[in-house]
Amino acid sequence: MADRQSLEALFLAQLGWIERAAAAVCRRHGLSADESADFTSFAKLKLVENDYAVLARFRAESAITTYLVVVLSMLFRDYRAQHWGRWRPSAAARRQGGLAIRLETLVYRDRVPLGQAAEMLRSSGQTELSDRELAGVLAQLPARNSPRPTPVGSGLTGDPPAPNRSDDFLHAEEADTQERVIREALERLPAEDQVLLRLRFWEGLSVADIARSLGLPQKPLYRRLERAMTHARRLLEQAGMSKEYARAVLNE
Amino acid sequence: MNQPDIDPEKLAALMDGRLADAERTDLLAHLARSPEALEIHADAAAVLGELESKSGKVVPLVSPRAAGGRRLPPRWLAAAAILAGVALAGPLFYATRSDPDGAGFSARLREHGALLPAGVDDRPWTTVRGAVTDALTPGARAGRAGALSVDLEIAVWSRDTAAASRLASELAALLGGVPAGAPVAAMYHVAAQRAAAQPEELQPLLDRAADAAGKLTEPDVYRLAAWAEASRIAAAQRRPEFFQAGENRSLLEWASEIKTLPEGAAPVLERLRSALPSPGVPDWTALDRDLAELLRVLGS
Repeated sequence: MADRQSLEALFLAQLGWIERAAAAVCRRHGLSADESADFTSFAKLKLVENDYAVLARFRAESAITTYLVVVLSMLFRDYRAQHWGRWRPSAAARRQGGLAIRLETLVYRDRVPLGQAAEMLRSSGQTELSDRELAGVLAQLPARNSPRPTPVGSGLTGDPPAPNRSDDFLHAEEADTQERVIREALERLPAEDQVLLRLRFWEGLSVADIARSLGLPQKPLYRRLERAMTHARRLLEQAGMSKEYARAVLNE
Repeated sequence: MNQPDIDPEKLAALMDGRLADAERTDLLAHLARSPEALEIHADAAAVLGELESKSGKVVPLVSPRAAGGRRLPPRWLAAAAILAGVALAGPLFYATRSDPDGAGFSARLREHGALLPAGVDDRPWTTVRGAVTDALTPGARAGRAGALSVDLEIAVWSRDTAAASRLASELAALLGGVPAGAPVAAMYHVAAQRAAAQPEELQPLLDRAADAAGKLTEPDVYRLAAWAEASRIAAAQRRPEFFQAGENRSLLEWASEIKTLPEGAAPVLERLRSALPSPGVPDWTALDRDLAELLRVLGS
């Protein structure tokens, strides 16, 4: 195992990268500048504690920079859970698909103002819907209390969605069935296709980022995503879902 | 930490394209089952994408999977062949030793996927603001060219177009001002213009340019600097496998006999020769220091 001095040197050598990566994690989750600074301090403390135990576990099986980015992404989950509690998307969002999940997460979990969330979704290529149309999507989801405190004066750019009753419209049993159908349909796809679809439509990654993160060439990935979506849509329709609903679930 | 059951380094290795097929399949199955693990993967991928596109310094890795199999277009091949032919026909080249280039070192890094370390533009050698490269000694020029040629290959293979273009232009400027340097500079100019091409397309040109650049300057210094830069990158990324190869020992033995080394290189080489044969994980701090010092001496 590397000694403390060498781990400290590694930490210091990577400090600039750590700070940039921590800031980028925070941007992805719509954190304010103060929250971003707080998370960066939290992450650096975690990397330093127990004589740089996180760095000591590095086995050089990957680039140190990639390892640190993954570690920071994991630390962000800890930070979020410590400060704002755990989060799960609502059943209604899961039924509506990736766009609804991402929108719900940004607005209710991360407390990003609707206008900013809409801009984030559009700029990352997850949707072309307008603010008004996205407000409509949000209105189909149950209103939830964010565990994250809202900074004073942050203000939502749009009116908060009206308390929603859409879950009431669906019988609980029917909702469970739909969710199970979606889950089972996805599970019938090859694992890599499941990951591709979820990264693209649930997590909102660009095709370039997906290609890089899975070590796949980018150009053929467009065709492959299209094929995976067609396959998934067919499975959803075979399971009794209407064509329109299947397309909506897959953000088509 | 209350985290999904996932090894962060395995996930990082997946993103760097370094997992064996079986491990990759297992990890993808895990990601498909675990939304928590997938969220971490997605966050890390988005962050890497953002940082890499912004900085152009730390670059995405190209795995064998990602590297396409396109062949060099005929017109491009012809241009490269003409340029290479012009360069190699220069009388200067026949008078020098064979195999001067450091392509083998960067190839060893490429096998495992390599990244340009952050801050790669902060060169270890002494520079004077406003100084022109014309004033460099042949040895310093060779040292810089050897190191830059390794950085260029890494940039090309990791698809860092901006860095590749910048490095190729830097090499062109460095080598263009010396007698008979114009053909080599022309090759690097072409490489700068074609920085976005597939690595397989560019590599033959880079090989020829590196061969010519080594012969054009001080071949031994060029080769030693190429090794030092490849080692510096391997050390920055804590890759013990790079230093466990027996090639390092024989290279250091060879380097100790070079007559044209600048003052100050010998003690650093001696320290490296004592340190590197040791099995296991090297002393990274000492390696970082000594390799930077060696490059400083060679390029100044």
